[in-house]
Amino acid sequence: MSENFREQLQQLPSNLANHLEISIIALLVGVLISVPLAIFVSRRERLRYPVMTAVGVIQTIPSLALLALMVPLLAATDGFLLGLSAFGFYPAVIALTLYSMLPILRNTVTGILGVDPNLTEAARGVGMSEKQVLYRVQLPLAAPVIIAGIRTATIWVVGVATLATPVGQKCLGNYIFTGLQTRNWLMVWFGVVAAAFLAILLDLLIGGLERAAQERRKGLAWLSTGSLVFLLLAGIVSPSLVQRADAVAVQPTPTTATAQVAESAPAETKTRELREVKIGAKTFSEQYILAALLGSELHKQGLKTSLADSLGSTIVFDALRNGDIDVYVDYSGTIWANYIKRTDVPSRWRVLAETNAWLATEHGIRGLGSLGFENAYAIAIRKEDAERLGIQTIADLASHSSSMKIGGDYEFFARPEWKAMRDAYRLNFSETVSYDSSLMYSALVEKEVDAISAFSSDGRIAAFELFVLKDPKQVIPPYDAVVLVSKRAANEPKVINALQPLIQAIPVELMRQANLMVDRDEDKKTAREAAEWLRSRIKINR
Amino acid sequence: MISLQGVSKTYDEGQSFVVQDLSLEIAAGEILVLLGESGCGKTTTLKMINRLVDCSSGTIEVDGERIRDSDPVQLRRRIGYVFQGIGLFPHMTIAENIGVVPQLSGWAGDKIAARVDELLKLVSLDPSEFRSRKPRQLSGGQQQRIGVARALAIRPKIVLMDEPFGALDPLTRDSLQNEYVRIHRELHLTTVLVTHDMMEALLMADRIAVMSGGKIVQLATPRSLLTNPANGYVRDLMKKPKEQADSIESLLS
Repeated sequence: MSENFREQLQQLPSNLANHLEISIIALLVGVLISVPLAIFVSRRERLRYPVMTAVGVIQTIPSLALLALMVPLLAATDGFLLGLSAFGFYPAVIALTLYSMLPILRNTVTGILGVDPNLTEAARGVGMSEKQVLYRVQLPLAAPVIIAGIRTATIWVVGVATLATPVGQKCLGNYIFTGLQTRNWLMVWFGVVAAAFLAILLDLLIGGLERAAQERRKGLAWLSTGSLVFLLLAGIVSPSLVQRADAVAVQPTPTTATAQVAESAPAETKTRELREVKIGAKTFSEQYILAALLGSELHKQGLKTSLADSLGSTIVFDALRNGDIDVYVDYSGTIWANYIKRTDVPSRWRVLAETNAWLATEHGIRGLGSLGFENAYAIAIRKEDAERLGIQTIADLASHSSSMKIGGDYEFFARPEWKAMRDAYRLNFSETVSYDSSLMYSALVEKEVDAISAFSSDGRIAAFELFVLKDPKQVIPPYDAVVLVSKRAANEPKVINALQPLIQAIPVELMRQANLMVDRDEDKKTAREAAEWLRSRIKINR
Repeated sequence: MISLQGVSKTYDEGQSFVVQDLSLEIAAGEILVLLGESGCGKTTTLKMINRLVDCSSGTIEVDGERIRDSDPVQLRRRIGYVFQGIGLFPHMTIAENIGVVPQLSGWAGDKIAARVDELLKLVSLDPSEFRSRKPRQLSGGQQQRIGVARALAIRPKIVLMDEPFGALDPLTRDSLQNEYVRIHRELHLTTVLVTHDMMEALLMADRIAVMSGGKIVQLATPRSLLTNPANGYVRDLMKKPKEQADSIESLLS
């Protein structure tokens, strides 16, 4: 068994359990809302069309967007006035519930209205009340159609739940997002196969229930119901069980740990809330590696950790601000331009100092400082073009830009840096193309585009023989990788002590090599392996 | 037993009437047939008696009680209802179909079972054979026998029948008609039966109300309808069975 396979297998219980939990809860809530709603509108012709249309409109929202939209919606409404967290579980379950509604609602209405009018007349004629007509005649006869709707919803929800990763909910999507970003196809397959397996299993069980109801087979009914209830309970209980098991599994090596745990016992009772440090990561290789690195440093101090990776880049900051995660690595320029909304570009140290001050005063977030490298936006072109055309700076590129295409990651062309750069250097590309950042470099090498918005710490710049253009007018702000710590975790000296040694410890060359280990196609390493390698090299430097 | 006084039904606030100013007294123990062509208002009149349709104006009394003041569900349980669609519940067994109203009325399980067997025998079906079958396993005639049994489950004194035998083949229809008359006499029921079938009306009825355009054209015994038709419409209507009988006779001679 390869290291990669073993690592993916290790994550399976936790990813699967969380996936099961959000899917089952969303379906359950979806059924509990949709079936009564369908019964209600099946008796009120005037309401039927508006309600069905409204639920249909929800379905037209792309699922990824629906999930992502829940985050600001929950944040702006103080969690629907209930104080629900805008991170992870609630946005995921609410979006999935909404997504499950259409097939259940539509099938229930169709099923009820499709009951032979002779039968409802007979039911009323023999003296059933409206309620009895519904429960004794309409619902039992509509049951196969209703269950078919629930089965459709089940398949959809289990599938769409893989998109809950970027809003901070752990699920089988973690395999898919991370796998796609790091081009780790085994990992992607893990997510896809597990999700398909889960969908088929749930569908089979509900199908069994349907057949049992139709054929009145008690044994089958008990078997299906039993299995569903088991899965339901498993879905609700297992994430916490798995977490506990994980926590036991990652107990640090006995020699130092026992001493430390004993030593810190009084401290632990004092700061009880911090039972584990939650580490966040955005969706690219460097972030996965750094999250693994932060995790192993914290473990060394005897702290429990959990990981929420593949988060959307604004979601991760909000999550830290709200205390949903405790620590992650961001970039000073991102904070400067996107969160503080500054457009001026002062020196590297001033950006660092001012962002730290802003984080502390505005949000109570502690910036521990730079890891020692920048991951800035940089315009890269093929080395051969640079030599042939004599392009050294972005300014040189401007005169050639009208006959060139430029590729960027999803965010790039919407970011203030691109607008500033375009205006300052009068760039006028014939076309702008958005790529998944993992495909952007190949696109440049394959001559799909002539320039890309590269990341300066990316190992593929050297590996693919790319040339990074200078920015003489300094319109691109500095992007120091900075460690941010939540208010809660900043009060815990052990956290700060564990992370402090990483500050200024990673030169950009090391980060590039670690990134390349994960991004390259041959002799590929997982993020955790790259983090261990990075950690061993940092030790040598110390 | 049942009394309708100046009863009207309109669906367009008085611009047109399905039933208009209809008055009718139905005596205990009789079989009263509402006879007429489709659209004459006979089914609407029937359904107003158990409030499947509410009348727009007028008064209907059942057992001396104004039905407007009574709970429609309780009213319908006191009145058996049999109709052309039969409407046996396909997800229930025969026993469950017959036992559904007793069950809703809170009867004990063994009492329901006994009643189901009693009713199956009443409609000439073998309980042990039919009890646990599903409706789709029965012929049309057998299904309507169950329909009648279901209507009689909690011993109503009144039965409303809306073209109950209309969809059956002639032989089955004939035997069911005779059998129903037997049951009616045996249980001292009061029956209101809607039909457009002249022969059915003549053979089953104690009295026939001939309806046309939402009104009763003539109300009389079968014999006096044949001998004393009130107008041309009734006369033409009554000619039909006789003409049929004559043409059959000529075939034989």
